Amino acid sequence: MRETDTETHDEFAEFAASRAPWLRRTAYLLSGDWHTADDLTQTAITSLYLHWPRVHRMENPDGYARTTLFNAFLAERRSPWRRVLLRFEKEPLAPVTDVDSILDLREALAALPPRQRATVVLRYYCELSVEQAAETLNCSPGTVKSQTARGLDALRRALELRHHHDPQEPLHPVTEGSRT
Amino acid sequence: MTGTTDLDDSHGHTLAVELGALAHTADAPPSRVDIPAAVHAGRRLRRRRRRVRLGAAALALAAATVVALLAGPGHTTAPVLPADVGRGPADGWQGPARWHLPGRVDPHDPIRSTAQFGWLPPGVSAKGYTQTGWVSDALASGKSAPGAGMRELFRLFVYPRGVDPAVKGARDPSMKYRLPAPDVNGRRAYWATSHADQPVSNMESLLRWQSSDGRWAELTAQYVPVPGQESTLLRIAASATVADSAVPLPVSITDLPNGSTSDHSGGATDDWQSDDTSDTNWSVAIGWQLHGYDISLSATPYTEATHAQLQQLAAHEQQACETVEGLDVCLIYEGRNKAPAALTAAGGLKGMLKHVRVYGLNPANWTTHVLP
Repeated sequence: MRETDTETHDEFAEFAASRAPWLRRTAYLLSGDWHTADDLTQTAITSLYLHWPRVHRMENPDGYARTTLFNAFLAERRSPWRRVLLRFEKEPLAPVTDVDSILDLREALAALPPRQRATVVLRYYCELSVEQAAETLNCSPGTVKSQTARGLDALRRALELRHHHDPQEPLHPVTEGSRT
Repeated sequence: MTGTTDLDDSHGHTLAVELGALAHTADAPPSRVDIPAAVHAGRRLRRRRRRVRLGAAALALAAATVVALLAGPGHTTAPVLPADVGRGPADGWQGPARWHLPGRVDPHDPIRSTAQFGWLPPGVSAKGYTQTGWVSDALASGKSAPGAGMRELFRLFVYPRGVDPAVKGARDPSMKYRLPAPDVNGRRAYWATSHADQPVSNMESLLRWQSSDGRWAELTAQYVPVPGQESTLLRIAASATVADSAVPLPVSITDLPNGSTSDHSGGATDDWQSDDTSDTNWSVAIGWQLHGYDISLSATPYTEATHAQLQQLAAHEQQACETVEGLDVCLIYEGRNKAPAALTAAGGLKGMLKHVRVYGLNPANWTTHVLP
């Protein structure tokens, strides 16, 4: 390996090692389980290495790493099998804490559609502005605003439902036929 | 925090604090993120890209790769291989009868089984299969121990013929240590671990052994208590069957728009994270691509609850659904912009739905001829 390659490699290794825990925690908020969080982080870091010659000259390599992680998450959620799992899975609650509110939040977050979850995490965990979140998700600021609003509304309703033990809304009646 | 928010400042702050607390939970399992492995994989991808840029020679290589993929194990019409070992004790067999009718591999079936569970510990049952590309996993899960929170999960996976994960191609490179394990049915076995002195852990353990046809099988166990775990995993491995077969499904599609390509992803399983063992707690999904857009076909027994969930999903996905023969059957299109012309020409999702056949709730009537 040439000296410059070695230096570039060392730079990458240092950057990746320092950012991996942060990426993993973010991935956990997105996916709701640590196993998937590890997979998403691994995918993001691999992609980061692939583009490192360009990325390490950027002003904001953290932003690139974050974008890569969110892309990996959304791509994974687009697979048909994942979509069905999202529809039905009730992932086990990790023995992470005995604070009920945190567990409630985890469940409520997991129930959000992927893009709403992504915008909520970007805005309130990563603390990005609407414009920065839009750049990360490659969408318009208006989309970020609407997705965030829906996500927050759903979170609020889910958490209120749990805290007040309100009965669930009545189920929709059976309808035969197409429902596009 | 900058920009417009939809919560007032105090609520926004509370949410940020709670998200932070959730992300920084103290009991997170050890990280499996492997930076050297990411570098290795990244270098491989870079080399591949360089080859593509080289032109004709690279094109030939890519073509060879495609041919190899198309000729891969899933496309063989060879008869089912003999079972690796005899079925485990009858009292322990809890296989997924719904998902397995032993038979030949069908090139029209996107979901294939490469391995089946035999004996499983009390309270644990086989749940079905999930597939991504050419990779298929058999799934099993149990109930969580009182107070433990996490349910026991088991995955069974078989590496393609000729792949030795100890040398190259291991799915989880962070499990880089190999610790000796007793032979499985007289064949080589070892524990793959992330710690040099610890064969199993209560977070994740991995046992690999060579099956009678030479392929390497891999059993992953998560959240299984350490006492007795080694003997339990060895018994599961010894009773597992390594054999290729098609998984019958309750739906098929007789025609696809021009330009459709199978991506061989999907799954057929009971809800493996649930304690619900009712006859309606299962689903199937298969996927393909149309000019780069993802389309999937899913089916699940109609219940009021799943029906309501589908209606909620309709708000943010483009889908066409019908309830037929007791099944909620949906075609779903995932794309940012308008549907590709080929899909529109086929009548859209509703038009495609006319080509879907539904075989009802009885697995005896299901088919392995799923795609045209």
